[in-house]
Amino acid sequence: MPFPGAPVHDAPAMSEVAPIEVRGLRKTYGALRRAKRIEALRGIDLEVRPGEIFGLLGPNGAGKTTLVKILLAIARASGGEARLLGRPAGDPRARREVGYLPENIRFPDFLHAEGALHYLGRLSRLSAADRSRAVPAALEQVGLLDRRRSKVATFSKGMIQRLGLAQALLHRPRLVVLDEPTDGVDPIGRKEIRDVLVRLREDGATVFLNSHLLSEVERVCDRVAILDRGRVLRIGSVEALTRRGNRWRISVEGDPGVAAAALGPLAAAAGGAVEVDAPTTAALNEAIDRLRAAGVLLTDVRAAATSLEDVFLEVVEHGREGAS
Amino acid sequence: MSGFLTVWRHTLSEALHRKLLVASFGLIALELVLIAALVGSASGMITVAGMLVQGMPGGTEALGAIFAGLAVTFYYPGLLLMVWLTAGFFPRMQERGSIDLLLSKPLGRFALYAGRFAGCATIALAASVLFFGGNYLVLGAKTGLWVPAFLLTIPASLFAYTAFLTMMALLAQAGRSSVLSALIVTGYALFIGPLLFAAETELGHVLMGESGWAWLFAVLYNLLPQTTETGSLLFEAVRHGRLGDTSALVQVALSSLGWFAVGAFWFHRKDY
Repeated sequence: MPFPGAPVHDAPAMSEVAPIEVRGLRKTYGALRRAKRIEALRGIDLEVRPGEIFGLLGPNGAGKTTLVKILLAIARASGGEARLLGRPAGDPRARREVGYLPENIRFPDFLHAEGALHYLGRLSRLSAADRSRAVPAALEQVGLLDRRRSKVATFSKGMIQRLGLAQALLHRPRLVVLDEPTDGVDPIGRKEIRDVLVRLREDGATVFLNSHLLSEVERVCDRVAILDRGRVLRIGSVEALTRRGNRWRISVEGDPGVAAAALGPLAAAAGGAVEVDAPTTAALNEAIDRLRAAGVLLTDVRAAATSLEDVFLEVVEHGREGAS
Repeated sequence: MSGFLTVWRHTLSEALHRKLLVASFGLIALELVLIAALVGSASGMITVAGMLVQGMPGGTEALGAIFAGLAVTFYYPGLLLMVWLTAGFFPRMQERGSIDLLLSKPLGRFALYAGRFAGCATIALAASVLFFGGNYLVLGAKTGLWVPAFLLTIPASLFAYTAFLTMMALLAQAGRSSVLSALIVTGYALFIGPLLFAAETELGHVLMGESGWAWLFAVLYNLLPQTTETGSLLFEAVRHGRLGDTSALVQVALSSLGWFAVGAFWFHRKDY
């Protein structure tokens, strides 16, 4: 559900501009002292497409948060270029249509939830009329409407995260940048947050998600980038990254060993299914025909995939071996 | 401009919600009650705690001297009250999770810095008006002596306060301890400032001669706001009803402007 009180954007259509565009981005901390110099980003190239949920993955110290901070002008780049909605990342006008949920967000604790959103809405340049409609809608969206008059100081970590999400969505941004949005949130809350992200995508917004939770990223993201030691090691759709070559997984009723035997040496039983190599659609259909001819009942056919976690570990380890 | 005003307004709201102003205004009210109880006049005599301290002065000059002394007596406590009241505002704004959120909003960093600065100055103005204005009214009512020049303590203390605030805002860029920044500024107001002032006197020159200390003191004296001199100027202004040598005021204004610019530039360039 879009927020009814929020303004409708009159800016160019999202399809015309990449919400995030990064070219050769570098960031060095402690640049003046060689001994303490840390290269957080070493020439990042990245482009996030309009309307997608893009996940940024990486171990601690990979440079994920630094990248987000440079995009939002919280930190400065040492070199390269970062653009947000077609404007240089440091331009305040670019941030008018960006919603951001920082890691470990901290609200003015003397305010109640509604007051905090009004304050942050004013900073996002929402008029009083827009705020009066958007604030209750945003609180309802994240399940905090009944706590709107409660002091932020009394909120749990999960509630703070929800309120953080509400403030990020308040002005109906075209780009939403979320840094560990489900940190401290219970499983039900996580599911609700995932649902919000999917609804945002349906409304045409772009979501840039920085998360440690690989299963979460796998569930909602269209594309991901894996970062380590300031470099992008892999980038692509979740499907493409997790796909295991030309291997297909065909679920069957009964003994998968019988099915494997019907397909010959290129197939293998795995759990309640049989896995087979099929480089073309014709080869896959031929395998299916052979199974049906052998009287095997099929329940599901899908590309064999590994988990994003396995891909992540493999890419990071491989990247480190290559670097050393 | 709207970002600046929002931050300014939020700073005032923060002070009110934190009961900061209420508590400090309560302290000021207590002080006023104490003054009212201690100071009195009877049969043309001014008394403090029942003891005769001064015959009712006949001439304007003597009256001015009394109120000038009172003005300077109240000046430093009032100034330091304002410093301690607002010491936490810049460090709090720069806490992790809070500053990230603010910087991600579509407003320039200068608006954020200046809005916070103006908010602190407004809180100090409110405290100053209540403290000095209240003492003026209580003293006037109890003694029957009204010297409007005493009210110069309000702009004088606010002027010196903004100089201290530039230092506190700058210190907040280097560290995030409000207590430490208030302690440093208090130390400057009570010890370093007077020491530098003394070093620039003839006696100071005689004592230090051409040593490296003399050079260092001279540099610091000219770089840091000469707030000690504003106290002396205030004394003269209340006593004679006119400002004396205003070069110290110009120095304080320029020095404050410089420190403000350094702090704002640092804030503008800093990575969070």
